[in-house]
Amino acid sequence: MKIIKYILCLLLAPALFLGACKKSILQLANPNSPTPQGSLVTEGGIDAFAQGVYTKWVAFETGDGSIDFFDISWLMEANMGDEDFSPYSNFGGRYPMNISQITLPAPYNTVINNPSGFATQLNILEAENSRTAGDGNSIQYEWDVFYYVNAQANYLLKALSNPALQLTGDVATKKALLTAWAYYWKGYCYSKLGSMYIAGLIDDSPDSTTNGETSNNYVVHDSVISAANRNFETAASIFSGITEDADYDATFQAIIPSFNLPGQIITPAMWVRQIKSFEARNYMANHKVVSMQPNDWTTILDLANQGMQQGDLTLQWGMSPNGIADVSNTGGFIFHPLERITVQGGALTFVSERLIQDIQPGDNRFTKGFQPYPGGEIINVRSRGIQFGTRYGVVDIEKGGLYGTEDFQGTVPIAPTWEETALMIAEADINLGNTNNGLALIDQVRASQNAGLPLLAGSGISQDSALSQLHSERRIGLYHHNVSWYDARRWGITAPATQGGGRTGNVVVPGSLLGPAGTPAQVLPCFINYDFTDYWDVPANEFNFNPPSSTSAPISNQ
Amino acid sequence: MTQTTITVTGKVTDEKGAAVAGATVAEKGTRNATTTSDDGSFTLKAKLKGRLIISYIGYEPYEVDAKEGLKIQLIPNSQALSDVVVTGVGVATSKKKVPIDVATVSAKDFAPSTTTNVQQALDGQIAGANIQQTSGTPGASFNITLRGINSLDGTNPLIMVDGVEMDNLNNIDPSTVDHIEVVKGAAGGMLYGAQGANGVIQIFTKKGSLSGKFNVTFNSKVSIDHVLTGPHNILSNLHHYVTDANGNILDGLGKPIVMDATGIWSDPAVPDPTVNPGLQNNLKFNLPTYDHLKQGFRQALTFANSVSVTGGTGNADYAVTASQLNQQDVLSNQFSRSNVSVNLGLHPWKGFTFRTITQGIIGYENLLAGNRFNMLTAYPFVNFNWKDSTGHYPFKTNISSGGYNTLSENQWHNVNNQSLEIFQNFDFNYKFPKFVELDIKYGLDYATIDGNSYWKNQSAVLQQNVYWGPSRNGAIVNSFTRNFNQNGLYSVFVRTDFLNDFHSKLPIKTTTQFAYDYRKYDYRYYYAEGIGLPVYPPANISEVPEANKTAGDSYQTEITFGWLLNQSIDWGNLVGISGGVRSDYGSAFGAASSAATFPRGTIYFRPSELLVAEQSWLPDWKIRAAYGAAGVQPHAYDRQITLTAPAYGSLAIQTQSTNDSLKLLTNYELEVGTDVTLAPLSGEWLHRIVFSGSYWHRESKNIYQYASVAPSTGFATKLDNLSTIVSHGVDLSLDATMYNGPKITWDVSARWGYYKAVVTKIYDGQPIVDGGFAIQQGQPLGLFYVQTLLKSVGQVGADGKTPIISVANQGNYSVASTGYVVNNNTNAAVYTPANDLSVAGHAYPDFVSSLTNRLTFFKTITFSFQFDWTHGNSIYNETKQWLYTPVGGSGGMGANSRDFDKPLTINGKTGSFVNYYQSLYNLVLPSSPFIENGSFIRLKDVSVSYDLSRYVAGSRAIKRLTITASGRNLLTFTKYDGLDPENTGAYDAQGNDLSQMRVGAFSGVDFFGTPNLKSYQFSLNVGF
Repeated sequence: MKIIKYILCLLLAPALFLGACKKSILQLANPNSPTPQGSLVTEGGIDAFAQGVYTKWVAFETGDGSIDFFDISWLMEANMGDEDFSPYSNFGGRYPMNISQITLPAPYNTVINNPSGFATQLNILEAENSRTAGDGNSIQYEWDVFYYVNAQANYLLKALSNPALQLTGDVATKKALLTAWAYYWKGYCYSKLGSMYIAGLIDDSPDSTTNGETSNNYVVHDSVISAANRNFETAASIFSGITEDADYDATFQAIIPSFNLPGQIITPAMWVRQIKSFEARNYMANHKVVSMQPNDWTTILDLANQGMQQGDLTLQWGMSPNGIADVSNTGGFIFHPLERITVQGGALTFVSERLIQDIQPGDNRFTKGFQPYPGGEIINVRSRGIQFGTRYGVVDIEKGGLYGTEDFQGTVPIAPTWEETALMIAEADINLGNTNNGLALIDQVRASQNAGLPLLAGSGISQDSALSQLHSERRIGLYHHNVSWYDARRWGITAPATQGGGRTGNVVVPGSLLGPAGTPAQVLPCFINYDFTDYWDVPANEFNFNPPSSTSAPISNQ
Repeated sequence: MTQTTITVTGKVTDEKGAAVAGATVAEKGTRNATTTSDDGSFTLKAKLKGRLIISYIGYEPYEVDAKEGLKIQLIPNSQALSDVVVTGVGVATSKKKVPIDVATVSAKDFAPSTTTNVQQALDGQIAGANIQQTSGTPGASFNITLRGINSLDGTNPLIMVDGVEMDNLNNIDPSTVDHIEVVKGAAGGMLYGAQGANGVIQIFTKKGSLSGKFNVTFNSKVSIDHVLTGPHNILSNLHHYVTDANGNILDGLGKPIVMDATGIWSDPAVPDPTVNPGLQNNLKFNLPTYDHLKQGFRQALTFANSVSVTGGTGNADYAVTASQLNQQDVLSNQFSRSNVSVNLGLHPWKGFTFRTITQGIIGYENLLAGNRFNMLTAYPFVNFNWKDSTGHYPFKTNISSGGYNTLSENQWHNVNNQSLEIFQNFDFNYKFPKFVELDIKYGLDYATIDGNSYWKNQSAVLQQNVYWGPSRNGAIVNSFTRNFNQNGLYSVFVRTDFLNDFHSKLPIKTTTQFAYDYRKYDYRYYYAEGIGLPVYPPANISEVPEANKTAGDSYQTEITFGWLLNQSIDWGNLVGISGGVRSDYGSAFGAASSAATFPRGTIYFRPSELLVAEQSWLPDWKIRAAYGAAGVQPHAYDRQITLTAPAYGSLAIQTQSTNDSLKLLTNYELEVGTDVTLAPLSGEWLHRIVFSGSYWHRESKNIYQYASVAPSTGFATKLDNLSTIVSHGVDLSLDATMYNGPKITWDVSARWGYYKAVVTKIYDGQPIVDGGFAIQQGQPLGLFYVQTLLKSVGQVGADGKTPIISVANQGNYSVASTGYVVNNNTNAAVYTPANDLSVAGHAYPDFVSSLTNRLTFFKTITFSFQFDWTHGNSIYNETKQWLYTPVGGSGGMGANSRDFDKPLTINGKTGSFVNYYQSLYNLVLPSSPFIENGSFIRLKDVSVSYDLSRYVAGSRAIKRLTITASGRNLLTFTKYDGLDPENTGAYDAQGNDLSQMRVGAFSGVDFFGTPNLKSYQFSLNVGF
């Protein structure tokens, strides 16, 4: 009997397992992450998804995992604009600053070629433009990040059209704000892409992202800018129809990251003005001054005059005070936009000598914002070229400075500002002969930043001197505004010397280039031949998988 | 007429006198045989004066004259364990009848220098298996590739212990192991369905025996470990810094370099070699220099102790093993592990066995990562052992570098990781008197890691700008990880024996196996972090301001279940076939609702059965073939489409797109092989040779791949079943008793394996590229696809016609004494452009092999040695490429490879031209000069044991006593120029691990790792 009892137990025990053979137990949802079906039909979910345009700055790079693509492309533009420099190869950071030649002044008169072995920036960027280069392909980041953000905006528009979406209160206003936000970001993405790459793709279909599809019809960069402005106009027309109310404010607060001017609201009218400033920037950034005609300047003037006014708020980028949980800290290597330049600890970027050189004597922003580099000047870092040297470092905001932080302080604007708008008007005015109007605007910008410089308006200085002041003011007044590269290009500075490009700039020259062993380094006003390409090639990780159609515009410079 | 046949009756018992049922009683030289019944008795008609052979699995064959009333007591076969296998066949099967390639390694065959884990014991024992210890860091995992590579994200086999799945092979102490069975591929892995495609390693823990003697064994070992550093220093002895007339190294301001009170050296100025192409690396240091590998790595001691008790009573058997491992790390701190294993079998009544096997494993480690990069790149005049006025090592040792003094971490960072693993296996087994056996196994594997990482408040440190950890003000991270895996297995076996059961004359036996298998994997992880600690104790997260605290969690559950039906039919010992099918459902594949189904068929044929006694030189010969399919599971939620939700409260589309209809990766494998035992000579020489060889061919379909996609789609990658890999290989093993004399015995074992895997299909035909690795359609896996140096001035580019150096400029170039094209003016070498890459090597070897010799003198002294030989693979020496980093200006570390001291001749000029070497650095892009021959022969183990038992023969307490001295990794023969050819992984130029990136790369890049250890060991084994 006992045996039979045990055997019965043996036979019954499997029932426990067999009970576990229902297929329904296999339906295990990922408990760690929200799903599109579950979250994008709720108000909180759709608001969070709208904020997700910032999340898309951080993206997956094979080998590295998640890194901040936006930050990397921001850094490269600052490099090429010669306001900051980063001599390090991480993420291909230094390659866009592959200056062609530097000629030492008399009595040396030596031509120093770039030690990279690549004669021009285009050569090194094209050498790295392969998937084998991995994260060393400098030109992939800006392309990738803005197509990722564009995809997020497309997906947001699709989610907003889902009838299952449940919003409360002033539904029309909320939906309008979210829709306009999506179109605004699409305009933003195309603005960046069209101002950087020789050709681009237009993808405005909400379904294409869902289906993982794209277009293979590459269009010239001017057409990408047109797409930017078209999306901006769609956004502006929606914003024009919105009246700010409590529901608008609540939704706005929900979709904007906490570091962005906490407690402040960008009103619909401010949005419309900012979009006009952005369109003015797009026009200006993509036209070379040397060939601009009065009607070009008038176009800029028309747009900028409808643009931002003093006191208008714009989108900012910074970090929450604890520096832990936000977009700029994902990936471990990339910091607060003002942190990587601090002189405390392992600086990733440095202030360019050429920026300092462009500041007017007596400018409070220099005395407050900069200091001699602690520990001595930085010279020809790792023999990567003598453009990578400086005598100066920033003073951190928490120590009374303006342009650096070690404590997650401060922000940078990621969209046009009133200052930029004013200086665009000023530049147009001066070029159109209304020099004094332009000088008055420069004075206003300087006053707003407590520069403490003597007033220019009414000084009667020449048009050339006024333009020189304008250039100077754009350098320091718009430092870390993400426009220095556009300026360097449109002013012709980065063109090859043979085509009138280049500039005289202060360079920290190692003693070994000047004399026998033991000769100290000197700062000399050298001639710098940048010879940068105006528009980057399309990155290989795009065209390898998306070859251009027969009717496409050229996707490389060669 | 004389009566020529007689009827023989008799009874067969085991060594304890218990009846042996099912033993074969055969008349020698004929096919006349029977088997014993349940009470051990048999009846057989045999020739008068004939000889009978009685055989039974696990026992020595017994030969006797045919006569009436035989009483035969069988003697257990000392090699019994290797004669019966379970893994890959489902039921205990005599190795003679196993139709697949199953390797068995008994604990007594473990290399004597095996100390810390089972992988060391398996290294060199399994033909074709590549078991690579990639690091000397304690607890570091191994690369185990049992039979080629059939997925792009891992080769890890299924690990089973006593019949149920276990998660972590690292945690099993070798002293608890009785023997190990290894099934290499899908043909055998089919029984394990969705988990079996990478092969199976099954550990059998020590077990007592019914009525066994009480037996105690104590083993104690000490190991003295040093890191392997290769035959020569890899760093340069000379320099090319700016010096004054007295040879003092000058900084950028023209002043001699000095170290300040915080330990920071000013950086030497370096003449720009691109402007001074004649610059040579030929100056002697006029200040003391230090060997940082010696300063950073230390001699480490490892202690391993174990005690085993085995025995049994009339209805129970038991084995208890306790062991303790204390292993110092050559870099820092230590690792320890305590294991207790209890294997208890109860046999309360006939036919029923209840077995419980419990393993408890407690681990502790406080290992630090250190900064190995800096150990090779720091200026040689930096003294790592220098301490500042506060008694601390400096963090940084020079201005320009981001590298830290590795010794400093120990002063500021404490790690305390405690692990607990309980592995429990219950087995209920009932054998009905006839036909049917029921077996139920339930295993649970509960493993936790309680982690703590504590960076002290460093605000009072002299160097103000640098710190270890997330903040100068210190930080704490507490984490808790829990894995809870369960495996239930319900099996029914139905056996028939036509001779005994049906009184048929056909020598047919059948076995039908039906099994139901359920697996659940459950994972939880929590962490809490506090940044910025008070300067006073206690240091805990509660004391951290709220704003500086973060926490996180993650959960994962996976379930599979499936059933198996397998039928085998044997005709005596001559031939057998089997066929079966297994069907699995899983939460992570087939949309969690459609099954993956795996077929199987096997056959064996033993020609030796047809031979007669005269052919005794061929006691055993089997030919076998098997076909089977098995799967590799995707990650738990790979198929689910989710949104990214970072901690700051937004949602976004994942950059890596997923796929809800992900199918199971499935391997289809054909294996053909033979196992031969030869007895060529009857004397003392070449007494016995056992040869086993297998050829296999496999197709791996539906391989998971994160295919890169055009970013304009909104995604970086797309996960899907996109690739196919076809592979084949040959595994050979040979064990021979070369000499067996009264005073000396000599045994030799050799293992050899070869495989080749070709990616036959990639989703879009585009190469998968990462770091130096590329997967190209139609090409083998593990290619190094790189830029190469020009070898002739007129070399043409990728288009096959345009010279890379324009004809107008070719006059400026010549071929240097190194064989590469160099610009005569700059001394810089020339690479092919980025769009002109070539295959410059492959990460995987042509073959892996080992040779073990064991000599015993006077039955007391045993001398053995094992050589491992890996041949035909390349290593990408990325460490060396980093040592070529151009230096200069105010950032000076790098350009310090030993190569820089070597002169070369360029266009008639001879010297150690710095710019030549620096030009090879090539922006750390994958480049041919750093792809080196990675073949090596390594003396893996050498040992001498002395059995002192006869000196304790009179003692009541001690029965056996053996002392052993052994060495591990004492000699390496290689052309490889780095520290250790085994210390490779899959890395890109920045040291990011690519092994999970689905580029099919798991080894082959040397990137600043901790090399393996050279160990000297002494051990004592005592039996009570």
